[in-house]
Amino acid sequence: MPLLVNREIRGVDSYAGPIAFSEYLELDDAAQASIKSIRANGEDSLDQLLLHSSRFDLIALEFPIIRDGRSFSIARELRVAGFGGQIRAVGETSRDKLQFLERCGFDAVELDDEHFRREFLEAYTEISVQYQGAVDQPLPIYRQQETTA
Amino acid sequence: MYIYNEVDQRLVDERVVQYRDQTQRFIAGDLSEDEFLALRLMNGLYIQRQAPMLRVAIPYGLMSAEQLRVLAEVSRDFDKGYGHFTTRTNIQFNWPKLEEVPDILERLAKVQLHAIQTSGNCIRNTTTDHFAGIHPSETEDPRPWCELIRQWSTLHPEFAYLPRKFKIAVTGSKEDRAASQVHDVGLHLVRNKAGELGFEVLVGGGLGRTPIIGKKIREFLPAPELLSYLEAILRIYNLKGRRDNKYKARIKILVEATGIEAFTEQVERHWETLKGGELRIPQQEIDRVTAFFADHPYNEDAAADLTLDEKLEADPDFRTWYARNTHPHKQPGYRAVTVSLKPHLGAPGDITALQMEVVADLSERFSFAQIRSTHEQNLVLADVAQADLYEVWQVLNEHNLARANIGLLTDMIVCPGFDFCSLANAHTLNIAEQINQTFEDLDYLHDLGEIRLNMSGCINACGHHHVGHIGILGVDKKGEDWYQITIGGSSREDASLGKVLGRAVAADDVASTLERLLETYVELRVEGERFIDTVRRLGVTPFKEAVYAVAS
Ligand code: SF4
Repeated sequence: MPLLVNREIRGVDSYAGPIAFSEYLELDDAAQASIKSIRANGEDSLDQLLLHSSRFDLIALEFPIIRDGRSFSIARELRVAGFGGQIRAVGETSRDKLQFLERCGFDAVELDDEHFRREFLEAYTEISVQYQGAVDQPLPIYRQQETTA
Repeated sequence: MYIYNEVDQRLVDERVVQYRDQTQRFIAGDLSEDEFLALRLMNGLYIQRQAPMLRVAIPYGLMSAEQLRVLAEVSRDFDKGYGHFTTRTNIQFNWPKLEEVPDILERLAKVQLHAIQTSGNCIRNTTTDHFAGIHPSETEDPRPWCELIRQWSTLHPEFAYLPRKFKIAVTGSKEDRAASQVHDVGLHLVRNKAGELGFEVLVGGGLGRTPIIGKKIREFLPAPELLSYLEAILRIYNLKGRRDNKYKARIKILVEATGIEAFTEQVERHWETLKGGELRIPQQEIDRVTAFFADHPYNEDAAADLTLDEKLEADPDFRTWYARNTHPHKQPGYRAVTVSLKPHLGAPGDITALQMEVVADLSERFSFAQIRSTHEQNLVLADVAQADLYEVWQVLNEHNLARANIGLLTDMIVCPGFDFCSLANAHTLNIAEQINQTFEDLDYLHDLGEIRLNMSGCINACGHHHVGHIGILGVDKKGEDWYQITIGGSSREDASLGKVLGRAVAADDVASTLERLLETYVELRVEGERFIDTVRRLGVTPFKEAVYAVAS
């Protein structure tokens, strides 16, 4: 299972299979304090997640099925709220989501894909035009022109 | 119209390369059916009953003569020589080959056309009033705002995997020619008391299995905040819309379940964090985009022409066409012309390659080289000087594009139905033909007056049947096609949903049922009353009784 972090292929991973955010919420304060990474998805309360996020080094956001795009918005909200740790996409990720993931604030992606090839990295640069602002480039295109002008 | 700059062009070019690669990976077996499904849908490619179907975007229904020519070329070189205009003002090709689609897209990209987001669970083509910018009673031209929405929504990284598709319509006039109240978001350009430009915002309208008229979420949104507000709505929808059942996944269901007050509050609260930020559109950008839609260099003396009156006097066929298929224009001496894609025999909305070229040609000679597609599945030449109308009519007539039926019963909106669509429950094209054959007499049609007939081949309602004055819905009863008829719907400013007339009728009985329905109308109407108004005045019952009395 290849792991991409900041567009680089990583072999070894210190990621220790974090617990689900819902389980984390059930723990007492002391136990919560020892937890540095969790996994969440669209079923979790975003408000709760934002509240606790500063404690974590890593938040893995799940894509339970290909068509579930909630984690794009969750990642965006985490970044806007100032979360500086790793946001990792897990589950039904794919080459063709890489650029959108990065734009929404994911810096890491697990690719569960037997066909993985190094060429996947090209996905990040396939489309060089970004009309709308996002986490990677907050300015929409008309403001980008404004600043370069 | 909006002309791509180098950046816009780069996007569609890169998209072609990307899609070519995706197609190749799929053919090579490196991409699963499921993964490819999501990708091809975002590029407008469906797999249909007969073959793949490619839907090409006509952003807010505006295209150039050059673009229409290329569409003609594509239909000839890659398809069977015709295309089909849809209620989203896009064009569909029914017979492309999957492996040739990248070549088609490459050809289209050369003239700034693409198929991006014409299907799939993403923000679809924005639609608008087909008389935008030219109608005498318009408040403000909606097209610059449509273009701003187009850019913002194109490949939006966060909203490519929404719970379901998302459709936006924008109007700039009190009259609603864009069915804005049955869209996920309907935007009405208005001015407030201080004279500032903004939008009245509706949310949660839609057709399909659960038809709902949109609800007002904001009375006045300052125009520069359009995108920040849309982003707030979309984000809430992306996070909270249902994903467990595709029939309950549209935003209308979320709005209903949450309640419009609570939903409004959620959106407004989130919007507070966005407004005034990066998404606020600077005046400079509004001006830049608006400049693309400036008035054409009209002939100031156009109204001085005397030949039109002579021709109208001399030629009754022309006179009928003029009355029905041309429309007022803000510039004296000009008319907007509807090119009827509703011939006597032929699928509504279909157009051959030759016809596309004829219309492209006419637009170059007489209408500033631009053409519009309407959600009623016709085309419009928006800016024709009155002195040229006769010639335009003659050419259209020669090519079976001048049936004087705009706004009449046979100007039907019809989805492709069972002949092409793999989701269909029933055929629609044969029923359209049956209606055309039964209501052939133009004088009778004119006497019946304005009637909007909409037909869908299944509950997905691509043919907008709920909002037809007369709606026809194809249903499947033990393997047979049956049709449920509704009356009293409207997609205009007075939007309403049609009510069921009675039990469904067999395929052979649709036109005769309509005959009885309309005879009843003729008996019951008061002088000058439209069908829809009679239905509204009297309710469904008298019609129901009259129609079913005969049958039982
Ligand atoms: S209404 Fe149904 S049959 Fe008609 S095009 Fe839509 S999905 Fe197909």
